[in-house]
Amino acid sequence: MPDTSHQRDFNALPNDEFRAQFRSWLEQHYPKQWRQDHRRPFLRLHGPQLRQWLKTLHQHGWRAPDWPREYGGMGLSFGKQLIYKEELNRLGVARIVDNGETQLGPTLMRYGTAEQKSYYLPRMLASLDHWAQGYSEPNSGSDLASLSTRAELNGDHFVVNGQKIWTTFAHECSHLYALVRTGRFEKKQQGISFLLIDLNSPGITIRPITNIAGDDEICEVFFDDVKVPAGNLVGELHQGWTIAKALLGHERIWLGDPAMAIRALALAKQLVIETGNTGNAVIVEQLAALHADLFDYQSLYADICDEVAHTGAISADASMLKVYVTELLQRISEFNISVAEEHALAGGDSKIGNTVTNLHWQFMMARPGTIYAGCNEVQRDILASGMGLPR
Amino acid sequence: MNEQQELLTMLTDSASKFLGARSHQDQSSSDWTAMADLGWLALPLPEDHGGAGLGAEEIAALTRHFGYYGYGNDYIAQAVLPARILAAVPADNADGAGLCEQLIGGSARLGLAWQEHAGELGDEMPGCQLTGDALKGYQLNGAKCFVAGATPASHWLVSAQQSGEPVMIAVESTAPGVAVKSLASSEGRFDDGFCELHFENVAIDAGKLLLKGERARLALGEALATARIALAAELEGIAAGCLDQTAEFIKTRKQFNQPIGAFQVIRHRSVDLKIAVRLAASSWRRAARQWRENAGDPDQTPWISAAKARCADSALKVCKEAIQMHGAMGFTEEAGIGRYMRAAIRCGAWLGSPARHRRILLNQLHQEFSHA
Repeated sequence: MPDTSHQRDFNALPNDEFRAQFRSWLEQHYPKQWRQDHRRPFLRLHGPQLRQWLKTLHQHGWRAPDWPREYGGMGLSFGKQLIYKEELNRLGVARIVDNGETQLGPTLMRYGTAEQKSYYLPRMLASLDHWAQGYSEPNSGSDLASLSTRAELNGDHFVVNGQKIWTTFAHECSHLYALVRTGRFEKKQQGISFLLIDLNSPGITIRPITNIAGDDEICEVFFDDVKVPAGNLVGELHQGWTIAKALLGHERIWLGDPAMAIRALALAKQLVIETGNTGNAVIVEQLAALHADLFDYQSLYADICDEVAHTGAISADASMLKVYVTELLQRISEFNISVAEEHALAGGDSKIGNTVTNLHWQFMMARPGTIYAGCNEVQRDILASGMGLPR
Repeated sequence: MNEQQELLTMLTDSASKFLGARSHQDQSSSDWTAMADLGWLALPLPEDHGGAGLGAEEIAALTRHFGYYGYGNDYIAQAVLPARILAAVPADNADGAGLCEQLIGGSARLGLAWQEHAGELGDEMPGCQLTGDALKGYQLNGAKCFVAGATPASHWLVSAQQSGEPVMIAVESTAPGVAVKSLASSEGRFDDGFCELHFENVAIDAGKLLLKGERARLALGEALATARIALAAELEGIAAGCLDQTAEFIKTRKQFNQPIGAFQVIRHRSVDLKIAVRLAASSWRRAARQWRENAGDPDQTPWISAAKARCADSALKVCKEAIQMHGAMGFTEEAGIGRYMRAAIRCGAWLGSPARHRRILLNQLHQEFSHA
């Protein structure tokens, strides 16, 4: 296992110096053509580009900021992780989906066997394996615990049958970690297990689904008598639900990251200029209201991050962040359509004044936020219980 | 815990005790004396003026409690605003020092009269005229409106102009030529705690000309900034207090064999109110912190405007929903929501409406546009 504890301890650096180092490194090493801009404000890296970028990060010691150094990560404090993210956002580094780093790695560190850790973790860091998350099914979205893809233990292997859906970038991944049904008990949560699956296994079919933004990022994954070694079980049999629910790291905080809203608002301001509406009191007042919402939201986000940095704990209330910012992003993306008027007739790129943008794309890409990672309706229900309101 | 946090904890503990016993009441004159004894009236004055030398963060922590407990009060009108003006008067000025002493001890009620038209924010040249000279004495003429303070003040700090320069003068309410006209009274003391002042050839001693020119202008700006932060905090307190009361109600009120707080629509709307309160809290705390770190910097006004607008909007939003969630009971005076609601409207409209403050944020945008 690569232990990076001999490398420099970034936590020891003063924040300003850490920020300056990372900023300078990013400016030198992050390809300009992959930066987010008005055309693709929420650009996401995937496939070969993503792998290349992750390799570059790894080569220079900037990979896995939240992993402990004993596992090959940077071992950054929360405060420094925040700085790390701020610098990525500032430069316009494209969003990435790196389930290995953010989800599976920490899961294995906590629940995996020594063999699983020593085999999979280095491969994640080196970008040899790329992991998709197999949770949702056609009949199990918000009600994930009702999932029915089953894994039957047959001696030294499981036989998996069923289907996963909304599996982001599965067609570009080498592996999948999945929640599968291994038993039927009184409570549906009790018979679920956490399984690691090689996507090259016979019996697996992956089908990308075209989304309304025109991308093929989410997939269906079909399992037809797929053999999975018994050693690929993470944790105990039937312990999968507990493992998946163990809220790992600071996901609740990162889901509230204002970066996408900041980019959307920058586009909004640019559109007001390019459409010649800077003197239109009604439009400018609409923009000012969105500006005020984002302005105040960033104060709230900073306060909650401060709490986390100082106490080390994330309260359940932090889910408020995701609820608010995803809806704010939608309101801004709607404003962008509204102010652009006839330019929104074009479904692809359009040039408005001197700015090239894709109005439909930015609007559509704002829709999933209120649905994924716990839809906002469910989040509100959980927050309501957190307020002590009865069920 | 550092020194400031300890101080804040002491202040908020003492506020909870004081106000817990006076929840949903209006400040009485014995209350004002009690506040003097607690040292609250001295908080906004600098130490060399006999005060505690505390800033917006501490003052706001206190006023937030006034809002939370539904406590009608004159603290911002008759302690914060006059104190911040007097803070700018040199400590060795005898008239200024005398007023500070009376303010701290609670023996006199002071007020600040700056506004002359609706929609003003305080950077306008006053219309009230100070004529005459130091030898023969000055005369004050003009009118002020929306002057805050439910309890009649004995002394007014009045902004005026003298030969085109802003000045700040002290006027006794009993001086000949001073007329006080209260706003129409309909609901109760603190709901009509604003008045008009009319000055007709009011004689002003030379010593009562406390501040001149740039010092007068800056003092008014600083006083209003501090007051707006305190008022934003009071508004967030109103929102939080009203929400807590409503949450308790919907947990216990049963219809269709269950608490109405169990209905999903009510649960979800309550969460949105909680988010509105959290946004408000972060906005005023941010403004107070920025003001402490950059006192007097006009670039800080966007933070303060954002906070005043946000807190007013959140308070109004929570109170409206609270009435709805209480059903017909919410419409009764007895239920207590009306009290929060009137305070939300009143505090929202005073020292700049939300729309007026948003326009300041809008100006920030215009600056960005002009550089684009």
